[in-house]
Amino acid sequence: MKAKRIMAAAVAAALLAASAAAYADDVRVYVNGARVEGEVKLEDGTTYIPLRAVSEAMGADVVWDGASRSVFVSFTEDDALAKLVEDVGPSVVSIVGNYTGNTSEAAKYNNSTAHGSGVIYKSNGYIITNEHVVSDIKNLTVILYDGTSVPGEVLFSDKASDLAIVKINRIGLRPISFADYSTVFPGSTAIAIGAPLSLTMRNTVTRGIISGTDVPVGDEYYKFIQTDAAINGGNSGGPLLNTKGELVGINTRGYVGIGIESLSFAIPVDTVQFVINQYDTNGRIVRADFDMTLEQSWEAKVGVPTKKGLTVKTSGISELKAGDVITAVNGIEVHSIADWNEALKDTFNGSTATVTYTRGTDNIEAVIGSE
Amino acid sequence: MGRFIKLAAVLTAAACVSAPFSAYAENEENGMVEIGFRIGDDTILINGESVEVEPPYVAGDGVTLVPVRVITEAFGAEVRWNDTENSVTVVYADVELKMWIGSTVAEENGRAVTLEYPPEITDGYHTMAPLRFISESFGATVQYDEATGYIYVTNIDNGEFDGSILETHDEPYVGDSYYGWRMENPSGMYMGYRSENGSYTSFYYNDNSISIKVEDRPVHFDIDRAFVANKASVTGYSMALVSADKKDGKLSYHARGKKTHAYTDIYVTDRYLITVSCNIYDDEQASGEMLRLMNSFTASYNGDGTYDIAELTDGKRKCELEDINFTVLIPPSWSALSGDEAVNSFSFGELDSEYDIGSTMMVEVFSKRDRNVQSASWLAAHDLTINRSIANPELCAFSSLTPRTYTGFSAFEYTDAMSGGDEGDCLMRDVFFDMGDYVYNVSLYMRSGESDADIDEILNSIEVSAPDASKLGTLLRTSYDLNSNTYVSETNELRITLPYSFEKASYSFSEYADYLDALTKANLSYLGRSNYEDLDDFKDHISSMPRRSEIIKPAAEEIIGDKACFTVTYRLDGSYWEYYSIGIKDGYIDFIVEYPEMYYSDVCRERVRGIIASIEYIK
Repeated sequence: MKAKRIMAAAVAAALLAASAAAYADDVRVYVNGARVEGEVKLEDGTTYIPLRAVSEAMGADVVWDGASRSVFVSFTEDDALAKLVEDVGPSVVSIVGNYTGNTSEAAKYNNSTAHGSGVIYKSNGYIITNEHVVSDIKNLTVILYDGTSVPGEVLFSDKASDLAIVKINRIGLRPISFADYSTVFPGSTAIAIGAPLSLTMRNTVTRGIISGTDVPVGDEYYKFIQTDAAINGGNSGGPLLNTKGELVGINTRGYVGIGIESLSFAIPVDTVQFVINQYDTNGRIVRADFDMTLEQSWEAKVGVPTKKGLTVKTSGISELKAGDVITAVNGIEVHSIADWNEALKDTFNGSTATVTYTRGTDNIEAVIGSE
Repeated sequence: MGRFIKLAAVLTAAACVSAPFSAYAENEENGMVEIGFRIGDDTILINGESVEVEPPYVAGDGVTLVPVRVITEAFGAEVRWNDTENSVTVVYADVELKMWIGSTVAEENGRAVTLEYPPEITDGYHTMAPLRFISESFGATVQYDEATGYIYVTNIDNGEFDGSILETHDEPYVGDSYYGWRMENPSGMYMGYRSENGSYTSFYYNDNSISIKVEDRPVHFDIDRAFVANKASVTGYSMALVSADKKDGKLSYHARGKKTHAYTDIYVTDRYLITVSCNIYDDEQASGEMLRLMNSFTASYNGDGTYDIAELTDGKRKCELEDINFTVLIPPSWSALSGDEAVNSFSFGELDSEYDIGSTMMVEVFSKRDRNVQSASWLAAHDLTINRSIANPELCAFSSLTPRTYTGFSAFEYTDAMSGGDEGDCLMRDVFFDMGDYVYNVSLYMRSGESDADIDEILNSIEVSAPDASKLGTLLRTSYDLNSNTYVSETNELRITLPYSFEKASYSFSEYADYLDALTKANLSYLGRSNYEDLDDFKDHISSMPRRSEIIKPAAEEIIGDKACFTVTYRLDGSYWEYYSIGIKDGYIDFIVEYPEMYYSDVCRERVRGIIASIEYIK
């Protein structure tokens, strides 16, 4: 041991001399998550980066004119999008299987296959998709970006949120990055990738804008992002992305009908994150299941903004009676069942909730549920 | 402390890293690696072998840090150190991880990953990094044993999950082994519809359709007459006889009709009449393809390379009633007659092309808690008593209650042999058995000349087990008894007192049905007012009845209850009819009762007479 240490010290001394010439502050440059190789220098507070490598990583065009010693960097929105699609592509998969929902002889003979899309969110083979893509199918197969088919297993699915987690036996995959939901707002560009209608259109891209956020849809449990990016049949389960290539939503439903155009919905990234976290922590979704039924106002049902709360219809809880009107839960105002679900999705501690309600002319706050 | 110390530390660590740890890398078998360790222990288990290491510890917000080199080399990963960058690169299968000391930004395959905690160097030369990052990237699972405090990191071999081959049916032929036919199975053809008992099947190929209909062979089949009949039945087609043969007593016949955009082939085999029709668009290629398909059809079955769409088990059709844990093999010509909404009452039987029902079987399940059910023997005795009293003694012969053991269960049963009626002979067997909290009642009505052995075969094919009462719930039986309570029914003209089993008919297949007896299936109808002078007047009125009727009890005057009536009884088309004209203050009110011939007995008549006696005209 002693000999080693002396040798190490000698070596260290020798190297020190050499290292003075090197850049001791190692700065790394990532463009949309991808490492750009090349020397990076930090001098007098300015970071000097390898121009071509970084520009081309952004999808820009770099032209060097030796004669004039000038560099021309050109960059368009299209370039950015093309690069984004190239970068994100490997995270998008198609999911296919034999449809088992129909047991008639015709269905057996036809061997109908069903398909949808999915997004890889962990490099070791975890994929998020819609629950309705994986329900009623067997022989589930995941088709990766390069066309490889891999068997998949449904680890978890939840009808209320329409999300499911599929696992494949692969490592080293490219996972998607999650956007911060607070940065999603109507008007920003939305890009959908998936396999609409047929697998011949695997990993095709459509583009639109975010038309609305926190949109309640019919009797759906949670709220949605509305977009006009074309989302058709097989797009279900695939990603809706922002221009950084971050996941903003999981494409779920398009309203189809005569006269209805460009109306599609995606499950917001915070609901996706909620489901993944619940699965990771509890192996399932722990939802508030209080012994009562709530009714929303007509305005809430129809979608007209209202200050009205939720009326308790039946109650097996001692603190609440039929007729009480709940106006907030855990400090969040609620005016619809979807509001209630969303508030609890964000704040439920697993066992109790604080409800604010009116009974007659009284305003009361009570804690319901048990530890 | 300055760069000097840091560099020295790095370099000494580098010195250590460069010595390979081959001692346990060789212990991998089939890529299986299991690492077990405890926080703070200076030894870890690698595939069972104990190895000395720098102790793993927990840092930051509960982040477990482990010695990088040891863990990754245990997986057989290649580890490289970069002095200049202060980074360590680990390569394993398709994964290249790169970590920088002191930085939470690491890389996986060149893409930025944020670590929960930065890798650091302990004791001068051990590089420690977050366990989760390494294990997840390598596809390993991490399990914590609370009892022992051991953390196990396991790398399951990268085998694929089973059975992910998408199923396709690409046999060159498709056919039905029960009805006996076969034809080519071009890829891209799909089935549009198949009837329950398989007698009708349709396919689509491109935009064209082809259908196959199977019917029973006509009883007296004459080739010439058939050809003429075929020509008449397929109007608009030009018919040609393709072949007609009688070899070894076996008949085969094939005629083809053609018109623009359509072909029809008619085949007669020793059992069936098969009609194959296709519709084509006048497109050269489509025409050719469909004609080829039609020509490939044979009215006989060959299993080689054929996808068989006849779903038969041992030549029988398997019916599964999942909710009641009941499976039975029924004759292949039968289909399910009850719908999807059936909960505890299911029926199966033959439906001919005119939707007339032939032989049938009913399966019903009831809770023993229902005091109208109680047990199989009780219910059997109860039903036998009632049926015996309402059945027509001239047509029906009942057995006594008999215990009987079938393959799948032990039962109590009775039989009723019916003959001499207009409806033809029928062999009925009513079987009752206990299963857990329930009583099952299987009744068979065989009208197509089946024998007791045929019935035995069906009953012996039943597989049944006690259902889960918490899922199935309480199943009550709607039960009527002969001495039922009565209720009063009032219309704007009449007040009638009826047994509860006589319900107001909600449908009418005959414009006269007003009340239908659930017990005996008798129909009671009010025909309105009439004026008869006397009995002769009544007789004249009666003589206008349908000619084919057979008078059972001639027209006569009777006192029923306290009312003077004219009555007559006749028989017509499988039913007995009783006509009652009840005298009221200024005329008569007429009623007609229809009894199915099977349920016509003294008991049935008495019940109706009681109703007639109660009728009051209140207008």
